[in-house]
Amino acid sequence: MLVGGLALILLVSFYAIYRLPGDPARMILGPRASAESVAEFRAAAGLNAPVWQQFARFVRKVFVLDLGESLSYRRPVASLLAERSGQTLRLVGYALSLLAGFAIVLPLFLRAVGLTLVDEVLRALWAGLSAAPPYVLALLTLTLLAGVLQVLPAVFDPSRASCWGAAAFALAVYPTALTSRLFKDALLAATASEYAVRARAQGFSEAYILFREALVNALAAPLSAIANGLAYFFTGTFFVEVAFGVGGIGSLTYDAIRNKDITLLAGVCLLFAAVISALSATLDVVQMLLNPRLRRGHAGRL
Amino acid sequence: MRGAFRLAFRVAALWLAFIVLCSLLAPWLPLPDPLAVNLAHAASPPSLAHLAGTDELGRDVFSRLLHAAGSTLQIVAGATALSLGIAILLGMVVGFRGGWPDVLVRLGVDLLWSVPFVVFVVLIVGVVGVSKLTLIATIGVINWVGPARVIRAEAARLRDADFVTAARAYGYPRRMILLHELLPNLRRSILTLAAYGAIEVLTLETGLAFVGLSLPAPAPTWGGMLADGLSYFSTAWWIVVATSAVITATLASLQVAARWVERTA
Repeated sequence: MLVGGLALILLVSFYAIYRLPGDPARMILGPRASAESVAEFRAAAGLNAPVWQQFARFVRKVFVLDLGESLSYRRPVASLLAERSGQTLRLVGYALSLLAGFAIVLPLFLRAVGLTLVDEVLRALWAGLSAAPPYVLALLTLTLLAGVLQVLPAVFDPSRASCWGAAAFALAVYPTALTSRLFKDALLAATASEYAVRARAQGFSEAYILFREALVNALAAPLSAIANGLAYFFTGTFFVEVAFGVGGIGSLTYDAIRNKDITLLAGVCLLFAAVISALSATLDVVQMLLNPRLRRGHAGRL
Repeated sequence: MRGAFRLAFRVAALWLAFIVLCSLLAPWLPLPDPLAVNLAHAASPPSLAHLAGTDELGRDVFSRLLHAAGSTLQIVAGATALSLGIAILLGMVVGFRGGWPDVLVRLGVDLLWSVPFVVFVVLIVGVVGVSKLTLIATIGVINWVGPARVIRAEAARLRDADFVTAARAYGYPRRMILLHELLPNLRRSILTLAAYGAIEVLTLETGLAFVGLSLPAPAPTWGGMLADGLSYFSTAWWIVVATSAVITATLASLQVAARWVERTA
């Protein structure tokens, strides 16, 4: 499935670049290039070869990370992506810590010390906020903090933690709401399960049951939600970066759309597809490690 | 709890009815022209004359919001209907019939499932260009995968139900069994899927408009207004706040409606 998905993305990107809007040679050389130079370029770039040969060449190039040259930046797409991905990874990293902190660690802590009501209130808050899409949250955060209260600079400043925090918050709300709900349900089911009742009857403390018995069993569902959340981060960062003005892959995509830079756009899509496929593959492995029943050859496999 | 939920549903239904009615009647309502530029009243805060203030060109934000609802809701309705139509047709026939078409469709669904949709839509819309029709077609053709999965499973579950066996025994043709026996039983799933589908499409369409991949200016779109508001958030906060409020209220209402259908219908 993974290979099939990637192949599909490759095919669509190939069509986007080479087949759809007119002559790629004309697009790459610009409108003022002479007819001879266009013809020369077509021959040199192999654009006169049969379609399947062009596609094979395209795939071979993608595998050695040669994504062509950006039409608007006039630089290799791969180096542009590498340059900008740092900011995006940083943003996604912060959002991921917010997600893990507010959806898993904080509820666990609040439950362990008996502040269940606070936990419930927080979850309701996340659920309420998550009705708004990420770009709306980003804009509202920006308008409130930078426009009305003026505690945030109006222009994104990468050296200030508060800027990163605000952007990561806008990104993290939706997965946090989802994950914390799943985690709570799983935790409640686990603490009411037969093995928990048995442990209680044996005189183990509630804290022991929560951390040693229930936690591992309750992690499977929120873990896959976190992996989905990560995938969501990589698409959501597109909107959040544009709203906040973070100079990562999201803003790069935005520029690519504005400038009709199709090679760059296809490069971004390939990158996202690769990241998301890698994520889902990693999730499968982690879940197998957590739950022995998912391993191949196990007697209890469903 | 049930009472509160019922109240929430009534409020949500009222809001949805309001926004749909306004979007249909916007040209005839006594609203300021959404495209009329009036630099003398540029970026003025909410008042009785301009309920949600004016934007940087002095255009009435409230009127623009209601006029934008029309094109946005058309795209949402069109794309949702298209994707659901494909999903129902494929899912029902394939789930009911089983065999190799079933295997084929399931494979295709799994394949598309592993592809990030937003990326796909951005790529296609970016390359093909933007119009109401391309948006509906792109989003609709790509978004059928999730619903198709659900409907296929439901149809496969109902395949051996007693009433289907009875209809078969009477010798009804397959088309009639599908239309008169299966379809009514899928009604609830279809309604729920429609509501969730609409949420997805609305989120996506507005996001696309926000980054400039929707109907070109000066036609008002919710996402486009957000983008305008972004440039002026420190001087004219009402643009962002009013637009966000309308988008969020609509999404939340759809969410409540979806839950309501899930529980009751």
